[in-house]
Formats: sequence, structure tokens, C-alpha cells
Amino acid sequence: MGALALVAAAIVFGLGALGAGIGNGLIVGRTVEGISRQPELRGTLQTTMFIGVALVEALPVITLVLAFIFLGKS
Amino acid sequence: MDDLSAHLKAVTRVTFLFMSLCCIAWALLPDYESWWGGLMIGGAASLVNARLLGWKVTKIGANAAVQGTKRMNIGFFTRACIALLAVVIATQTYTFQLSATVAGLFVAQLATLILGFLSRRKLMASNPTDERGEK
Repeated sequence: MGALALVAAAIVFGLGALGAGIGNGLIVGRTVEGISRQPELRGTLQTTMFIGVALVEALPVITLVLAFIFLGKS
Repeated sequence: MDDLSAHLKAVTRVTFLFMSLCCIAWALLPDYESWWGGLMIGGAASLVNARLLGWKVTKIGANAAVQGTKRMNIGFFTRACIALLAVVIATQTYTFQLSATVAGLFVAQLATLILGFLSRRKLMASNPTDERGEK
């Protein structure tokens, strides 16, 4: 049970962080590109980026808490 | 230019409203105090996370607008640590429900999503064509 819980924690947080990293990279990259091209749209693009990053980061926060629950049970 | 600060103010208002509703619910239904306390701690942590993310997004936008070459991050590790701290405080210091705390961690995100949809809808209603004059 102990080793399996550690493996479960590693998998759940690793996969969550992987997905969030890809998603955040896409969002931030496109936003920076858009602001560089059209600085007058900075307000709109920042708001869109804020919404996107906030939603993407919900998943790794859940997985982090789950991972620590698994670690606590190991 | 200050779309984001207006959005953040609205998110802050909604989150405080949620926490005050939890206070009222705690007073009316004290048997479920572990749930209300967990939701309030999670909501407070999610508000701190949202404000921190807004600050980081503003800094990244300012750097991109001046074509800066400074390397920046969006501070995920700090926000993850704040979420973890909220969970530890709720479960170790007090005896609040873990699931309620985790649910409370997404109040600001949910408010962000709903307020974003609403503002987008209002924008589309006031300006039905895009900048090229198309529908």
C-alpha cells in the first residue's frame, strides 16, 4: 500500500503538472505574441490570459492536494 | 487598459460575498461548521491566488508591451503552496473538512469563468460586429 500510494501521488501530480505546463505555455505564449503585435489590445488580452490561466491551473491544484492525501495515507 | 483590474475587483467582490454567505450559513447551521469553515478558508486562499495571478499577468503584459527581454514566470509554485497551506491549516490546525476546503479553492476560478462569460456576452451585445465589420 505504501509504495503504491507513492506511485499514485507521483503519477497524479506529474500528469496534472504536465498538462498544466503545456496549457499555460500555449496561453502565455499566444498572449505575449498578441500584445507584442498589438499593444493597444493589452487590456483585453490580459483579461483573456487571466481567465485561461486560472482555469488551467485548477487541475494541478486538485492533483497537488490529491497527491498529498495519497502521501499521507502511505 | 484596465479591463483586468475591473475583472479582478468583480472576482474579489463575488468571493467576499461567498465568504459572507458561508458566515451566515455557519450561524444558521452550526452543525455543519466544519464544512462552512473549510469553504471559507479555501475561498480566502483562492482569492489570494487570484490576486497574485492578476499581478503576475499585469507584469507579463507590461513586459510584452515594451518588447522587454526579461525572463518572467507566472508563479504557479507560489499559488500551489498557498493552496497547500490552506489545506494544511484547515485540516491540521482546525478540524475542517478537506473536501470543503478543496471545493473552496475554486471559488475565485468559478467566479472568473462566469464573470468572463458575462462580460463577453455584454461586449458582444453592445458591439455585434468585430473590428473588420463582420458578424
